[in-house]
Amino acid sequence: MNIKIKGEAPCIVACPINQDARDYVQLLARRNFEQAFQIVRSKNPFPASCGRICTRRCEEACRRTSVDEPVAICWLKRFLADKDFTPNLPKPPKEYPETVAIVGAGPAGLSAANSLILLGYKCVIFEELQEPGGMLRVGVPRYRLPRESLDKDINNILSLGAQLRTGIKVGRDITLSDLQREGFKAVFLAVGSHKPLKLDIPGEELPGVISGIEFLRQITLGGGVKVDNRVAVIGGGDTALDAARAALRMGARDVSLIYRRSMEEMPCETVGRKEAEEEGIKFVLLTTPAKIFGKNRVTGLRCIKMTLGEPDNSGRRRPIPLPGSGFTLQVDTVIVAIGQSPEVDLLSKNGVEISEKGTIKIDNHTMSTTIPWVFAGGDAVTLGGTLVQAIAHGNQTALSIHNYLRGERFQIPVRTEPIKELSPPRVQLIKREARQRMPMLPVESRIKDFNEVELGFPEEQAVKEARRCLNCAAGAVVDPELCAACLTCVRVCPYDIPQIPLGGRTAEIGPDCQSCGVCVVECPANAISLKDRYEDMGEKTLESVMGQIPGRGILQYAPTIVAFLCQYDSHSQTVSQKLRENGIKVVEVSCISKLEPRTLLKAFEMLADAVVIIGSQSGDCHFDAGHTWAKRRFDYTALFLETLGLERQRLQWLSPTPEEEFFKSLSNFVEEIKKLGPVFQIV
Amino acid sequence: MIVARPKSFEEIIRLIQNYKKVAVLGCGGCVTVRSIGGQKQAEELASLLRLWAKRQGKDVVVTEATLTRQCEPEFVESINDRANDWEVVISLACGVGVQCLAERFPRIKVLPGVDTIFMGATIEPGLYWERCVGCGECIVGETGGFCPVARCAKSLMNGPCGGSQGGRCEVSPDTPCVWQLIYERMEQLGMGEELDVIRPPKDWSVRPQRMIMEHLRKVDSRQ
Amino acid sequence: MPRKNPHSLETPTLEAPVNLTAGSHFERLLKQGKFVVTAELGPPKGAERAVVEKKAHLLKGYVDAVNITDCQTSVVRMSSIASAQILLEMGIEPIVQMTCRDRNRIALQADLLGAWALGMKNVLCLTGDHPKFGDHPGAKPVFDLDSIQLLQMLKTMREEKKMLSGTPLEGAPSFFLGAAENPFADPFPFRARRLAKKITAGAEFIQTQIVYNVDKFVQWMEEVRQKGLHKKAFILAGVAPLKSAGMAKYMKKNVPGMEVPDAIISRLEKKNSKAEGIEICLGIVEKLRQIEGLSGIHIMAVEWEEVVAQLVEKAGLLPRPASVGG
Ligand SMILES: Cc1cc2nc3c(=O)[nH]c(=O)nc-3n(C[C@H](O)[C@H](O)[C@H](O)COP(=O)(O)OP(=O)(O)OC[C@H]3O[C@@H](n4cnc5c(N)ncnc54)[C@H](O)[C@@H]3O)c2cc1C
Ligand code: SF4
Ligand code: SF4
Ligand code: SF4
Ligand code: SF4
Repeated sequence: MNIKIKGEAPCIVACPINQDARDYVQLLARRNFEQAFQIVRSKNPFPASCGRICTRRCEEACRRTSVDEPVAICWLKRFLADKDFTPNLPKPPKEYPETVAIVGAGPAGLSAANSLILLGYKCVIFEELQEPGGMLRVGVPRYRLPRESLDKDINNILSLGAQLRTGIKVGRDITLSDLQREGFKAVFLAVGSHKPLKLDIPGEELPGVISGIEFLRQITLGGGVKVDNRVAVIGGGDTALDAARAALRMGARDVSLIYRRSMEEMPCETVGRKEAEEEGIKFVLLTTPAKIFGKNRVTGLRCIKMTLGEPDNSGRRRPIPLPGSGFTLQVDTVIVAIGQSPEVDLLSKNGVEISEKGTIKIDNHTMSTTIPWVFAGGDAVTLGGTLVQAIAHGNQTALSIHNYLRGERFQIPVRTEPIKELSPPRVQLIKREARQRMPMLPVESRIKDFNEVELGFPEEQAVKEARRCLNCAAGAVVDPELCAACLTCVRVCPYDIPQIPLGGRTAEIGPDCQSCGVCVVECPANAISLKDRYEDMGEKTLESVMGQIPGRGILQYAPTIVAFLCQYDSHSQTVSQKLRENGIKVVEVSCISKLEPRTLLKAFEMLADAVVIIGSQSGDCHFDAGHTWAKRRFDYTALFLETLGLERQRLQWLSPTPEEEFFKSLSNFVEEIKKLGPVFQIV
Repeated sequence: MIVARPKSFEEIIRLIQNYKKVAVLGCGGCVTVRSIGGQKQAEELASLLRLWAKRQGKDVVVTEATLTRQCEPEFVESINDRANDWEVVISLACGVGVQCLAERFPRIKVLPGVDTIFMGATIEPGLYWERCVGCGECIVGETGGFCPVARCAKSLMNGPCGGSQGGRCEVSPDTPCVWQLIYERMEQLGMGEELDVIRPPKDWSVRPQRMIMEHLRKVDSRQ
Repeated sequence: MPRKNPHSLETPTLEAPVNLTAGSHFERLLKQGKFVVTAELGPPKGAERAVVEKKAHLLKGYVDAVNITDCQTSVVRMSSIASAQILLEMGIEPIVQMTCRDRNRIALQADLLGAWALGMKNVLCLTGDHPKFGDHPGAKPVFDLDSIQLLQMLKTMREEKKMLSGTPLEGAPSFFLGAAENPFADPFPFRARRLAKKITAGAEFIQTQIVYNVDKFVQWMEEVRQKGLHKKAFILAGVAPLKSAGMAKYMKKNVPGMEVPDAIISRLEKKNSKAEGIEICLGIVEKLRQIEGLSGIHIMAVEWEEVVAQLVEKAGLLPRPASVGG
């Protein structure tokens, strides 16, 4: 069957690396963690880091927002990354002779290395610092991104075979021409953006004034930086916020963050901002510094109040000073974190052209600089870049270098359009399910050290969160060859999705499909299937569990019992364990509404002596209507068994709650089946 | 569409008792639309038969397939090759389909797996109602769009019997009296007087009926 | 011999000659303008002739003609034509009831040709109950014709001496044709129009469903008169005494097209006896006799034939005019 998807889930489209968020979230919901992780890793070499500090464009785009809140995609990625699976990456289809030089071992450089190696190239990474990681190591503080997590990501990349040469500054220790001479056929400049911008106000040279990145770098690299009691941090971005929170952890009593505009305009992450507020950072808004006081050391900061005027080029309202609003803050340390720009002087001496903004000039698609064999990406080309943007650049540049080296034209990837938002009447049909809250260290203890603040989802929470995903653009499809236009799907869908358009001859299922599977089971023509590659409606799983039936002894009879249960259900783990303890074959499906009567019959055909459906009525079912449909099919199948003269008890429906009762009825059931003897008298 | 209902399993097994090679054939037409004889139902019945055979200790091979429509010779032809492997075929199509199979495969025992009950419409999901008996002389144009032949328990032609009460038919309180409907609609259409005309007895002539559409018949292109 | 009733309004005298279709006693009395009394006789569920005779004896002399039901409520009974023959032999005039339920147009014509040959002159043409209600619910309902078509067919036989197919008859039956009507069925506004249809088709007398709701019947008769139908056909109102409150309630609930007013039920509930039932019935008859355009009553005392004599007597309808032939 040829399935054409018109439009893609917005989470996937919004992501700069088109991470298949929906797919891994769906797999996670089915507890298939390993496969989910591999999907993440196939496009993202920094799962553990991204799962913590990503700017989450996917969540901004998530369609679940119109129902309640976006799916916590990022934290789900983190959950997967923290499971420590070994990446299972495809071997390069071919080994090429060329070696590529990568300058800078930040996420852009490392991602490019990852992709180039998987494409079949060798590469050497040159890094000025002693350790790889770039800003993730020397910028982002450990309480947000622990070193172990970063190291895990980096080690996984390096273990693919990239050569890392630290302590070498390209441009200073070795020139671009040297690299060419040494035989590198292409160079990727991923040098980041490390030169702090200055305030250009009097007193900036006083001791006690330090740039945000320098401050953070010293904390990481142990440069002996200290803070006193009162700290003023200037800026509104991630660096400013991190510097402020780090200052608190370094022992500062009173930390103020001074920002020109209001809270809404702050470019930093909202989650981080909230956490900072909790920790006691003071936000001094609509304020700009005018002068730093002090003799041998900073003692005060003169500030002016601002008001917001017309929007500027960035679309944000321009701050205008309020005359006569000056005031002075008593501070001991001033951290300036108003942005940074790439260090390009050396490179421009090497012939690389620089843009007006001070970034390396590139072609937006091929990522190549004005020198054909030199490419650039990451923060070096984007002011205020992000981790995922850097990864995207790394991935894209790798492809472009491959094309360049193979003499192929670079294929501009076709952009898939995101599917439309859910229509308001449909939103009404979808169940509200609150977003899971991230467990965190208590405020009192977290400001004492650099331990990670966000603790990560435990498994049950992760699964619960994952099943909130609406599986956008990946629901059911109709095979027009088989569809008889019977309207069954149109009539049974709890979400009013399938339609036979006016004048149409076959049913169509739009991207709003919730993947509940009701129509798939009800379609008499077998014309509907779930696009979702991970959904087998219990059929294949049944085959695989039944394959394991041991040969039946003639003297000793142990009944073969198959249990179908919802893997979405919060009790599923305990239940499934209990079932297995009882020697029951377990088939997990994502909602029992996906069980076909023929699958239940198939179980008997495969020599089951009894079948039990574990149907939760706990109210935390993702598909509320699913339960009703499942029950109907259960009754329908029961009638079949009756006509066969099979004992009614061989098909059971048990509720997993209350647990005590479930265990009791389960053992009663098993006893009963034992007494009934086998369905087939094997001779 | 044609509406059918499944035959009892007992009846089916009674008829296939002595066979070893059985096929269950669904039809992609009306019986699919009514979830009675589509691919799914064919699979279910086949599965059931295999279970039954296994329990009986019988060695029976049951296969299933679904024809696009069993009432068309070309589609029936499509199972030619496989038909040799079958001794008995259970058709889930309407009576028409069953007979098409029986005619095409004289050596195979062809059995109906469903009882064809009527031609009807979907009133609401899961509720179908007879609307036409194919009487060969449609009069609904003169009866307000309601057929008294199919929908009046007595097929009355000249108005309601004495059992029509409160709009309900005397045979069953959940069946509307079609003559009440006819009367109301005709009055509404301003055609009430037509009901005062005595309608002569209906022509119930020759069955089976046959219809020929000359312009669709085969053209012999041999010289 | 019918007993003389001093209060009787009619005397058995020969009246001026009238135009007769079939020449039956029943027809003549109606056409002479007499208030006619008929009663119903249900043949046995078996071949026992004596049952028919016994029931007929109970009626003889008290009514002007006796309707023989045609497997009423779709329960198999001795055929109405055969039973009618027994009555003829006893000197009682039968009204043969004929339904469309069990015979197609061929059988209907064949049986009725025979009936005429046997000397039966009155036929009541009915559609018939659905077999579902009877003792053979699986029987194939025929309904090849409906009652109106049956009337028209018999009228054509009489007037054009042709069968339905157009084949000339070797001797045409010339029945006095009647139809039934239920004034209490729906759609009520259409009932009188349907009656008109029956009359156009050939009905000269009409026997109605049992009347308990006299007011509604009066209303219906008004419409009948407005349409002048009472001048085109003789209308006999159906009456039947109720045996008990239980029976009244049962009929109200289960007999299609039967209306039993609550007043009657509560009267019977107060004084639950057959006598009270008869009293109620007499009251109804009394009221019916006031209605302009009504030609008689038709007593339907199913399986209670012995009550007929009592009723007729108490209603002051005795003696019945002597039959010319009897
Ligand atoms: C404090 C802070 C917090 C941040 N928080 C977030 C966040 O929450 N979410 C997010 O998505 N992004 C965040 N970012 C941004 C993110 O870290 C960067 O966008 C990302 O690291 C850019 O990757 P890159 O590889 O382009 O550059 P970098 O990470 O800067 O790496 C460049 C590397 O090149 C090396 N290098 C530079 N010049 C040379 C040379 N000439 N020769 C050899 N090596 C050289 C550098 O030493 C460095 O290791 C944050 C940044 C900072 C500073
Ligand atoms: S609901 Fe799921 S698939 Fe849809 S946008 Fe959100 S995460 Fe993506
Ligand atoms: S249920 Fe299946 S056959 Fe029926 S309209 Fe939908 S897709 Fe088509
Ligand atoms: S899978 Fe569920 S949500 Fe999707 S179209 Fe079918 S019934 Fe509707
Ligand atoms: S009640 Fe109406 S529909 Fe029923 S048999 Fe009588 S006329 Fe026909």
